[in-house]
Amino acid sequence: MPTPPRGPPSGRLQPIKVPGKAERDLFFKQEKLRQQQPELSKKQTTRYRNSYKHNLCLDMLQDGYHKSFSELFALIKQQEEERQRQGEESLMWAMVMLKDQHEKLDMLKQHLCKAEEAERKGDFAEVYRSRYELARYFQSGGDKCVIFTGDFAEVYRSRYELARYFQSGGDKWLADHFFTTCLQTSAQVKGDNGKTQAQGYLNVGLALEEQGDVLSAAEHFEAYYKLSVDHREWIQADNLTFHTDACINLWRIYSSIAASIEEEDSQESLDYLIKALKLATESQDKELQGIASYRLGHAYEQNGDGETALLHLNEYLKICTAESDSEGIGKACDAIAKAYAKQGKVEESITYLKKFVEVAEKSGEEVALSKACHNLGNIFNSLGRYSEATEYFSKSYNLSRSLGDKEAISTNRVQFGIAMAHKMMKGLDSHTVMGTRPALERLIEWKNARVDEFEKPFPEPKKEEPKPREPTPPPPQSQVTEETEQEPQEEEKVDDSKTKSELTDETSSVTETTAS
Amino acid sequence: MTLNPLANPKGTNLNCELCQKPAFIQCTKCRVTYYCGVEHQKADWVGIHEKICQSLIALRQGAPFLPSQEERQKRERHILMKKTTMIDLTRTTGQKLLFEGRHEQAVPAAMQSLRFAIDVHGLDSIELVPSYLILGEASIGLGRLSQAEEYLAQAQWTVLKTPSCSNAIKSKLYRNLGLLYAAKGEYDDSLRQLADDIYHASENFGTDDIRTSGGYFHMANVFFRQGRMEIADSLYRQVSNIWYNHLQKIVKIRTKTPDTPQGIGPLIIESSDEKEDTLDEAQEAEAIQVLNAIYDMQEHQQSRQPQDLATICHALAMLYFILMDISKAKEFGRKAVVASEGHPDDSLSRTIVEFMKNLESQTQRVM
Repeated sequence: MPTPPRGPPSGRLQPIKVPGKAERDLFFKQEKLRQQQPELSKKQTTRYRNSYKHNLCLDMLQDGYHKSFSELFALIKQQEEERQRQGEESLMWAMVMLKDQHEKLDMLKQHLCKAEEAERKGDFAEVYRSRYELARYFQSGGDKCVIFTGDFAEVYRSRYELARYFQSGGDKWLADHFFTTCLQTSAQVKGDNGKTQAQGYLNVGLALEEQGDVLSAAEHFEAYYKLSVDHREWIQADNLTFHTDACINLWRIYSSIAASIEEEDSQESLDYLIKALKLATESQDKELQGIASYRLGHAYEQNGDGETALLHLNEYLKICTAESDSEGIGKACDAIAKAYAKQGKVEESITYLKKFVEVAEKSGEEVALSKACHNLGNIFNSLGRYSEATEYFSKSYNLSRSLGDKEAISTNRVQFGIAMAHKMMKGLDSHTVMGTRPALERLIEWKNARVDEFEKPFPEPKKEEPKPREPTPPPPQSQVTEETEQEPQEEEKVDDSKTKSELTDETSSVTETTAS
Repeated sequence: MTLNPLANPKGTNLNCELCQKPAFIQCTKCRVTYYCGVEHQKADWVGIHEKICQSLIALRQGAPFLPSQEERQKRERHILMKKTTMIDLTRTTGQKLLFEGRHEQAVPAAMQSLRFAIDVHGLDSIELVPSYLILGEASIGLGRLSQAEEYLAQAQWTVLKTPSCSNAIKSKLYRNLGLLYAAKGEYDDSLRQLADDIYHASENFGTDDIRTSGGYFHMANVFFRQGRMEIADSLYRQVSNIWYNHLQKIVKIRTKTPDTPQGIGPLIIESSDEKEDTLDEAQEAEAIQVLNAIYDMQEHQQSRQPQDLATICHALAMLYFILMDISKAKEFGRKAVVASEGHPDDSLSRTIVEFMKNLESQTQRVM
């Protein structure tokens, strides 16, 4: 097509250019190539024209798999509606929709068609298998999603990662859908006494649990348990009977329910823990049983029922001893000691704590050992047995120093200092009271140098001084009190959860005496 | 009233309404319609003319003298509106005649609608497609396959050229193409087209709508003819379930005992003014055709499932109830009760019994 002339007409018009030989050759060549191509049938042209999803649906329908078509269609629609509902800001807009994921669509088509075929023949076991496979596929397919979205902008990517973190897998809804349909079909599978159904319940239960809907999950697990309880011969892939598996799952779900409602309704929480213990016992898994007992004991203790708590904690201790689980023993001893301490039975408490220390030493568990020493020190401190207290505190301090746990170091350091101060207090007091010259000299000397040995028991009383530690009281007495008062209290707050409440009383008494 | 073409005023050619040949007679009622012979007049009369005879007068009379531009425009608008309603009327009539199986009579209606559509929308508008489709279907029914193909090809070309064409039209087009191929005996192509029909209908209405069920039904017929009974059965079941659910919804609204009015004033009137889901004429005809066909099929099958028969009987009973054919409704209701007896699915038999009770009370109220 000739372009309109740009400038003013230039006198003579150019003749229309006739295509040269080369151009004509090219034209013929193209024509020839075109003729070599096969003629496209109507089907092929529509295939080219339509979307992938469209073609897939057509294939399914053409072969008569109309139920599969309905299901696939409904799923795609569901996702679209979900996206619409969440609004434009939603992260779902960044995700690749199901209808654009050809691999997944193929997978869906293949298995759904297989399932429908089997259903027509009345072979529900096969239906179940197909659906189960699909569900598994989508469950494990979470990572694929990330790969597909790899070409999105980097910003989206990081947000998407976050979303994934919260949603845990983009295809969860698909997996859930198929697990649910699995359960539905499994109800129709006859001839295996409900084994498939049990599996269905298990899967849906797990899916629900992952969604955080623990109560519904518990319902499904209960159904699973009921089905499996009469059939101990059903065995899973990893040599676990269904029954045991049901017990374990139910135990877990009950425990988590109990933990979640602990704040609001401690009684209900206890009920769940008792149920969990019962199931743990039934599963004959000692470890689970132990943990269940421990949790129950703990809960009882929180509720103030020390006796029952001790009963369950002792049970736990027994199990741990039988299993020679040193960590468990330590935990048990610790808890028992605490329970005793609460009841005011200090001696028993000390016994168990010593046992704890022993076990921890034997097993070389330094963290536990440090904790045990710390607790012991606390108790001795409160009992006024300062030399023992110092001993344990120093042990704990050294341990935590070697572990490099900063928080523990500072806590222990302060406690150690307090215990030392307590130990020294007596001599200091007596010297002050004595009021004799050598005594006063001692005091002044101590104030000056602080390097003196403690020669308290000598007739000529001398002062002992605190170890080279941080809160060295500066010369004026009033300041000493201030500093010692402030620092321990700060530290106290940090380790309050770990240590006993008696500590606070103790510290305040320390400061009082020092002030006097 | 007879005419002689030679006696016509110069420049006016009066043509037959159906075949466009020179006309020899004139409709005495409207005096604006002409035919080549009594045969065509009769055909047109039963097909469509009876319904539109009087409306045609206003449309075909020459324009009266209107002095002002405003008035002329007003008249134009008026005529355009009338033509649009005529399109709808003629189309629904044609569709209904098709479902009743009277293909011959559907042709005049379809032609008429095509004419009006061309008048209003122009020659290559997407609006013509429904008329082409009716014509195509009628031609298939009459066995004039090449003619049908012509019409459908025309329709398909228009659809292809209009990317924004609605899914409903596409679905209808593919359904007719499917029927065409089925009539030709090319079952694979036919299935392909019907699949396309179902896909588009589903996009528009959802997979479980009665407007989608037509595609399933035709597909089932094709599978039936191919001898793939399993698939055909499954599809027939799907169709009857779709209709069953739809009819049940309508019946539920109809038989619902009206709430005792509380309070006074316009509030009550508003609340009782509920949107009622009903069937239009074409859908009624389709329902009768489809459900009866499935019923016949299942009654003659040896290996039928009693549940299917009960469902279809119940659906038919509900359909006749909606159409106010009480005696037939009762007959099918009884059949449904018999079929559902001895079947473990209690809910189905319970709904049937409930429906029968409703039916009785309704009859008494009418009497």
